[in-house]
Amino acid sequence: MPFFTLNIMYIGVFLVIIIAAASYALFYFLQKDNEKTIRESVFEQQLDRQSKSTELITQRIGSDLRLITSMLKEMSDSIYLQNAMLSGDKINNLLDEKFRQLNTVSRVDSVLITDENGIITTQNSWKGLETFVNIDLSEREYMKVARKTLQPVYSDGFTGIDGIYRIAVTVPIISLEDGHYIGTIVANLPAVEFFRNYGNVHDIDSQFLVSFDKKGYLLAVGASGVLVGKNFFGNETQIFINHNPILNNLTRTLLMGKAGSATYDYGKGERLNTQAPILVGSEPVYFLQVVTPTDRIYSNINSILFTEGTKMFLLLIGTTLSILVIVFILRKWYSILEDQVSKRTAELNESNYSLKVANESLKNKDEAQNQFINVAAHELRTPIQPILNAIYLMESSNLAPEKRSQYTDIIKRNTQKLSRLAEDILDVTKIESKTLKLVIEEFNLHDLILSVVEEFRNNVRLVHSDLSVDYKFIDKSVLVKGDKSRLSQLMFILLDNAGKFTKYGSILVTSQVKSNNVQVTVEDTGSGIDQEILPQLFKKFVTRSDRGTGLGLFIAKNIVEAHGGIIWAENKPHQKGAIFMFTLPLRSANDKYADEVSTGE
Amino acid sequence: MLKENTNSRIISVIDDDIDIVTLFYDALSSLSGIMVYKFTDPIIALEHIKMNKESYILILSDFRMPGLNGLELAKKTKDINKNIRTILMTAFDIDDKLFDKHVKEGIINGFLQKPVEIKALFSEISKQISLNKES
Repeated sequence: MPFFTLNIMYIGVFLVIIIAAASYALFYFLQKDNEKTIRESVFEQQLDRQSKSTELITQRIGSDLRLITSMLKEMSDSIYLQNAMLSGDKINNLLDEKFRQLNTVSRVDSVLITDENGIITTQNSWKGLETFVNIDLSEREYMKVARKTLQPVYSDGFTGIDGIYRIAVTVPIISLEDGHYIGTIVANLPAVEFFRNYGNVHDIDSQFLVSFDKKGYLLAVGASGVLVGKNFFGNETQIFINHNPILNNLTRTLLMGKAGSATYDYGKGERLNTQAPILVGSEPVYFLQVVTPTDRIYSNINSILFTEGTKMFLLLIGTTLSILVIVFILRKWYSILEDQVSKRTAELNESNYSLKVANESLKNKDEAQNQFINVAAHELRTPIQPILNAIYLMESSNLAPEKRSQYTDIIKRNTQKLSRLAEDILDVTKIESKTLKLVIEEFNLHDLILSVVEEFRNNVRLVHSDLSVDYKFIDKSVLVKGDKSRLSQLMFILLDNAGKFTKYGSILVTSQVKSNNVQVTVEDTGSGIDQEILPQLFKKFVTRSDRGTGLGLFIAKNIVEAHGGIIWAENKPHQKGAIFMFTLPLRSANDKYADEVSTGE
Repeated sequence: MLKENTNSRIISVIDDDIDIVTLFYDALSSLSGIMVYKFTDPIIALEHIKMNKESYILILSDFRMPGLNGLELAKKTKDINKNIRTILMTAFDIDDKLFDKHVKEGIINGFLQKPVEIKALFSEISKQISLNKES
């Protein structure tokens, strides 16, 4: 990969990582920011809602208290009580009825009537609760206030003899005639039970109520039932709330009759606290706080936010993964392309190479052909010269007779050579243009070989007296079908060849019938076949002889193959010299092949 | 091989074709005052030249021969005695460039294109002999 491209890739990857990291960081911060904003908004909504709801609850409580009061008032206006009949059956029945009526509004433990001195004259209560008749209630604060103000009194919390923390609604019995104080009717309500009508007063993990009396005593505490009846500013409660300043402040303002809200955490989780005084008329009689653990507020939104956050995150991850996949694919694609390019390049190189090789081979062929023409020309010129020179010298007048005969021989020999050369070149041309025709006849190959060997021997004697030429045969009758003159030519080619490379020694021709063929060999004791040209031996223009055209063996091969035979050559394994062998099919009664042989190749 | 009289002037004809060599030998034997030798083996010819280097005035050689080609023979002859004239015969087309090169270098003094006629042979040899006389 070029350096430049590599650099760009790295820069690209680096940028992608930076962008991804930045996106994630941005996402995270925006998400957190978003969440904060959403939470704040939700909180605001909750605060609003809770404030309104607290108002409503306090109004309800107030109205319920008024209802109880009016129920008691109704009784106080009854004729019996107006006539100071504060006990007896009639009163009991009345009370009974009243008791039932009161319990429809809220749980009332007991309702009782006291005389002007605060002594209980009659009472009605739930079974199992103690009777209070004749008990003196005059010292109770609410009795004092009722007697003094002649108005309904909503008492502070007090612990009953049975240990239950209560509040009492006291209605003075006033004479309608002259307005003198007759006695009171008191309804005792269990504090916690009362406030239970308006909300959760026992489960700290949900939104709960806390209610106070004017002195700050806890009438109901959702956070802890143990604290009921304790003063808010007392040790036990303060320890419970870890002296939380915000809550303390808030409660103080509440007890002053102010509505409000605050958030705080005294160690049990953050809380949203909305408060309002419970009014009957225009005066606060009790005080209410509605407390919500903020994680409750957020729990819903938290899960939504989480889901949304997760969705966004997954989207981001998805996008990142897609990018990674794309990058991966691109890289793969790139490497595939690279592979393809290098494959193509290799193919191109290969094809280039093949073209080069083909070119070379063509050039070689051209060169070889040129070479052939040169060599052919040389060969043609060579015998022409002695002919011309001999004739020239023969024209001299005082020529010795032996010279005359020598020159005549020279002319004869070279003329023959020239003629053979011309024929060779012509043969090669015919073979190349596929117009070589064979004249087929049946004859005895043995006879042909015999006469060729004889003629060759005679020719050789003139040049090399040291060379012996012999013919060994096994069968005297070797009937073949073929072209006599071409087969003679073949034999001469092989013998001439042997002769060229064998100055001293012998040339041996053998013939032997082997199954359907005759095998003929021509071996010599000469220099042998050059290892380099052995594979190209029968090709055109290949020669190690300086006097050869390089065509002889090519023509020989073509003649053999045209007759349906095969030709090969090798060096003798244990001696100096070469051996050429060829086979020809024998003529047989069913020999169709020989009949069909006509042209070369 | 006998060393000849240093007064004689020797010409050799070297060609692996016996007919060519025989005819040239016969033709050149008519030259007076010159001893003609014929060789079909250039290596043997070279030996003879070495032995008689003072007497040799000219060699006439074929280009293409087994063992030692005509050009190498001419070079070696010049190394032995640069005054010996060298004429090469070839049946190949004479490459002018090659011709000029070797002539410039003084290795080959003359070329004869085969088929060489006897008349042409004499003409070239006379020319070379006179050039030899001058040097």
